[in-house]
Order: sequence, then structure tokens, then C-alpha cells
Amino acid sequence: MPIQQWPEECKSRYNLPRLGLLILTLVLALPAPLLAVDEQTVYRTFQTFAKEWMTSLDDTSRRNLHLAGQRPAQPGVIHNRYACYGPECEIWIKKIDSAQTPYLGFIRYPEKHYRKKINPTGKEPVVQDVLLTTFPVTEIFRFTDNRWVH
Amino acid sequence: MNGVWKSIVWGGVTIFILSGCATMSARQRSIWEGATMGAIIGGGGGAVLGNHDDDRSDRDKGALVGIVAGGIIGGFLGAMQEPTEKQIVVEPAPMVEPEVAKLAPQPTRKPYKVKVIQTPETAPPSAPAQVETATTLPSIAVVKERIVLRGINFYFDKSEIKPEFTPVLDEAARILNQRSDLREVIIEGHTCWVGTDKYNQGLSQRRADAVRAYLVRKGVRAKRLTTIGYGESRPLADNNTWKGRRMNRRVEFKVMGE
Repeated sequence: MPIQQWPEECKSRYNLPRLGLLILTLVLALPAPLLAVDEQTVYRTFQTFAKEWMTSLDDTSRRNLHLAGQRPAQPGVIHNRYACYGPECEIWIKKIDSAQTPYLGFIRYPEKHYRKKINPTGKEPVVQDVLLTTFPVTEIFRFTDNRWVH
Repeated sequence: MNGVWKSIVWGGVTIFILSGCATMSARQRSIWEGATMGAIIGGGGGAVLGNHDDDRSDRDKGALVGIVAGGIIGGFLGAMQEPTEKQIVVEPAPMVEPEVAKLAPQPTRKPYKVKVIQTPETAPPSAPAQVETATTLPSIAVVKERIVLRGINFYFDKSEIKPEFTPVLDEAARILNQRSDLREVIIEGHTCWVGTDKYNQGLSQRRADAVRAYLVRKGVRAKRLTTIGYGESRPLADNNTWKGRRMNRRVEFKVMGE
């Protein structure tokens, strides 16, 4: 039945804008737990997230390596220090007692610091990478609103 | 005030009050606020467009369509909105160290699963020709380990850490309490380059101080922890890209040793 043909009593009782607002409120008020996902799914999503994260770190390592290899105009031996991350890593997730953040995700990888020595004095420039130090890095992420927050 | 406008105003007020619910996450709050604004604007616009004659039903229909459409569009826009760097204000560090004995350590949980993955189609940088021995380096404090906390979030204009971030801090406190070998820890605050240098430096210092205060409340000895706010001065990645900026926004622990 078209709205125009509703009895006046109904129109006044079920005020249409109010009804619309009520429906909208109910839809938007759907609690997040209704959309909750299981642990296996969370782990799979974290695998995907970690791969993307490690790829970003790899891009950073390549950029650092590239910048360290740049030679200034002045002659002489150059020492540049730079850091690289990964590429190998361990990942795991941990379930915790929190409604808003039910899981934490961990990525653990090595950070390596190098010194690049460039001696451009000869015919062929001599480039030497020296490992100065290496230590572990653990990154902790949270799973909030069904997504990994960084 | 006629019925339509009353409905719009009261509906908007109701949703706006609900949008301030303390239990809502940032994302839910953002959706609510977007929906509220959308419903009010859409409802008003719909009522005006439907008010071409004196037929109240047209006006009501217009308002209804406007409210629903505006609410949905506003909700989507709100959902898409990311919290910005500027929405981070932190609490000052307390000066008094709490008694450690009062805080029971959290039970240890085994990780759910451990798996080694390789970054796709990438390789480590060129193999080093040699490893420099310790004798060639001066005996100064060096970094032994880094722990990076991601997804940091604080209330806007309040000195309170958002509840969704506290599990990350609780985990950090658990690690520090369990591992007595992590004696000297520097808490560093870092931002991306969005904002002024001065603002970012202050912001990162307040972040680091807030994290320290929280950890001390969780039983980590205050003497082990020092804070430094680096602002945008020590980026990990390229600030010109979105991916780089997200990597640069962080709080990290540097575990020092000799």
C-alpha cells in the first residue's frame, strides 16, 4: 500500500522520519562481535598483513642501500652507515582478554647495520660492505575492529 | 516547529548522544558522527526539496529519504576516515614509582603459531665482506634489541591512552617485567612528517612519556626507563609515501647494552 494511502492515524503514530531514524540507528548499532572472526582467519589475515609489512621493510632496506651507495662529488674514501631489515621473519598471534582488541600480532626479524666503504680513487671504485651489528626487532600490532592496526 | 523538523532535530540529538558512548571504538564513533551529520543534512535537504507544495506527505517522504541516504553516506564517509596524527595527546609521566609487589605478573601464554616466511621476490643486500669485531668498536652503549609498538592511539585533548591500545602496552609491560636482562630501556616517540617540526617533537615526547607512565603503573621499574621524543627527525622509511609514513609513526623501545 502506498504511504499516501496509509490511514492518518498510522501516519501520525508511526511518524515516517522517526521510523527512518530508528531503522538507521538499529543498522548502525550492530555490535562488532556479530562480525567477529575465528582465530584461524585472524592468523591468515595477519600472514597477509605481515607479508605486506615485510615487503615495505624490504623496500626501505633497498632504499637505504641505494642512498649509502651514492658518492659525493669530492674525491676520497667514503664511509656510509645504513640499516637493513629482514628479510626472514617469524610471525605469531596471541589471543587476549579484550573486547575491542581481541588479538595481538607479532613480527620478529633481524635488523642489520652495515658500513659501506667506497674508495673511488682507482680506475674501478672499490665498494665494501661491513656488517657492524645485528639485533632482533619485535613489532607488536593490534587487531581492532576486525583489522590489523599499524 | 513542525513534526518533520522535530524528528530531524531529535533524531540527530539522539544519534549524537549515542555517538559519544564511551564503549565505542574510534571507528564506530567515526561512523556514528558521519551518519549523524549525514542524517541531519540529508533530512533537512530532503524536507526542503519535498516542500514544493503544501502536501505534508511529500515533505515527510523527502525528509525520510534524505535522512536515510544522508545517514548511510555519512556513515560510509565516517568509516573511511582515518584518525589523524593530530588526534594524539598524551598524559604526563607520574613521578612516583609504584610498588612492584602489588602488581601480579600476567600469566605466560604460548604464541598461537610461529612460522617463518620469506619476503616475496626480494633478497638481502649484498653479502658483507667481513664482520667488524668488537675490538675495533669503542665500548659504548649499543642497541641490543628493538621492540616497536604499532597502532598507537590517544584521546584528543585528553591525557588518556585509548583503551584499544592498552593491550599492546600491557604486552610490552609483560615482556619488560619478565625479562630482567632488559635493564636499560629507552622509550622513543617518533612521528611522520605531517605537521610542524615543533609540534611533532612535542607530540612524540608526550607519547613516550605517556607510555612510560603506563608501564610504570604496570609494575616496570621507572629507573629502567628513559624517554626521548624524536619527532620526525628519525624516519625509518620514506615520508613521501603513505606506506613510509605509517612505518615512521611509532613508539619503540631500544634495549641498550654494552
